[in-house]
Amino acid sequence: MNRDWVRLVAPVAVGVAFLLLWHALVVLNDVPAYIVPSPLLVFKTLVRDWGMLSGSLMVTLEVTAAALLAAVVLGVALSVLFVQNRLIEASLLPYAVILQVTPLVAIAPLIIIWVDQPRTALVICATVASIFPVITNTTIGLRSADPGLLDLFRMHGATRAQTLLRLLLPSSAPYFFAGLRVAAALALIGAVVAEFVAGTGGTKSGLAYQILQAGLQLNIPRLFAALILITASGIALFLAVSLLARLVLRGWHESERPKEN
Amino acid sequence: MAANEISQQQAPVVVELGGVQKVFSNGTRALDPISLSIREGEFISIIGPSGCGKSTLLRLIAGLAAPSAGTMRISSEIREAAIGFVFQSPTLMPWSNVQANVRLPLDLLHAPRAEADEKVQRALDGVGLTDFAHFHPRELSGGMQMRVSIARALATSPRLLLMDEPFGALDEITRNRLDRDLSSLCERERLTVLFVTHSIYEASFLSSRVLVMSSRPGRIFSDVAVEDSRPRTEAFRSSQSFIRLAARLSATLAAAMHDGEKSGVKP
Repeated sequence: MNRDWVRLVAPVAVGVAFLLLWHALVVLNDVPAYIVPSPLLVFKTLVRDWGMLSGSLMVTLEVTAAALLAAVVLGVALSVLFVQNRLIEASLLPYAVILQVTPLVAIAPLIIIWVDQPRTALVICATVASIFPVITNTTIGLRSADPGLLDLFRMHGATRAQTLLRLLLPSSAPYFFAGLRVAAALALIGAVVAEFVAGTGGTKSGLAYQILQAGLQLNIPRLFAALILITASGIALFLAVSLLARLVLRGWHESERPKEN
Repeated sequence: MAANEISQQQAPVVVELGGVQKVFSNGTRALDPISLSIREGEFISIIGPSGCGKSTLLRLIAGLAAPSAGTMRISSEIREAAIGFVFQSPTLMPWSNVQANVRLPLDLLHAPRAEADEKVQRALDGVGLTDFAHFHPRELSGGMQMRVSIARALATSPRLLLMDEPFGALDEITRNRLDRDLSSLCERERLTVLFVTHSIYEASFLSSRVLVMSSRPGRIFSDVAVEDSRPRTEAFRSSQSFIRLAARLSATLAAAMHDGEKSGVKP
């Protein structure tokens, strides 16, 4: 109980202290807002421009969510395919690796040129950025089923579908969620980076576009406000995935086992 | 006692191995030609040094591995009822509760719902876990998890039960209790059992017949019949015949291991 409080209070205290110091430095040194705005001004800007920023926030979140969903569906489907057949894995996995090691900023312009619909192009970029951890983790998970249980399924003439649904997929769940946590962060980063690359060719409406515009107009308080929204989205996404993992694994997996003293 | 033995001699042969051999793909000779007849209702323990092919023999009979040579005949009665297999560890699905775990083989065999419900209930009753149907494996002790594993093997009402060192990881008191329960369960259901173990005392307590194997390559070194009546009770552990049997098995096993070492020298 005591420890839980420390874990909550300590980082909050550090955050508050940091904000106070930031505010004091800006006010005492009379730093102009177009260089470093005070936290209070950033907050005021966030409230004042909320109409515009919240719209952009929704666009970025929609792109992120669509990309994450696509990464999960495609990633899990590819992993299942890999596990069914070694030849398929041997043929396709190197390309997944190539896709992963090529920087997104380098391929995003191509995708944006090739795909007419800007929103779709952004979703594709963010999917490319986030699919790899889903594939690798789920594949390892599917291969980690208990060999004894596999024997049992075989002895009773289980079909491929039965083995997949009742043994392989549940066995891979802890690995999948570990991958999903990384993929969620990458999807958001992918969505923001892609919009940066797209610039004026993009949707002209996401948070990255707001940052670009604010930078050009030297509206630094708004830039900070948009930045805070991106960070907050990342944290919310991480917490949502963690909660989902806890709900699914709580009953049985060690990683989500309630701690006992 | 004698009547029991005679009826067993006359019981039909349900598993017949003729010169069955297993060579792994890396060239290891896991089993040299083995010939073995198993009669209905026999409780056969297999003891022997590690690597003597005990587990391989079970896997061959279970159909999990194919023999490299030889013939294997398993009666249609046994094949139709599905063979029960109990592994070294409980091997349960951690995400499913006890009931769902026991039900698994029935689901895989597409058993009708009502029939499956009844069989799961009976299997859980049989191992004394009726009150734990909705527990998850990790909430149970090692001994209870093993009981779940046995209930799962019994759920399909098998006629043949293959057990691969099922109680090896348990403390002695739990192991003795499970051995006792297993002995009466098998007698009640007239099960044929093939039981791999490292423990001479466990083999002595449970079996109507003990196969002592030696290793490199695995073969049957000695085939010992145990004539005492079953099911066995705690009193049997302190009986003269139990002590004599354990001593005899111990000596035979030592000879088998010595034999394995000799033949283990590469030509």
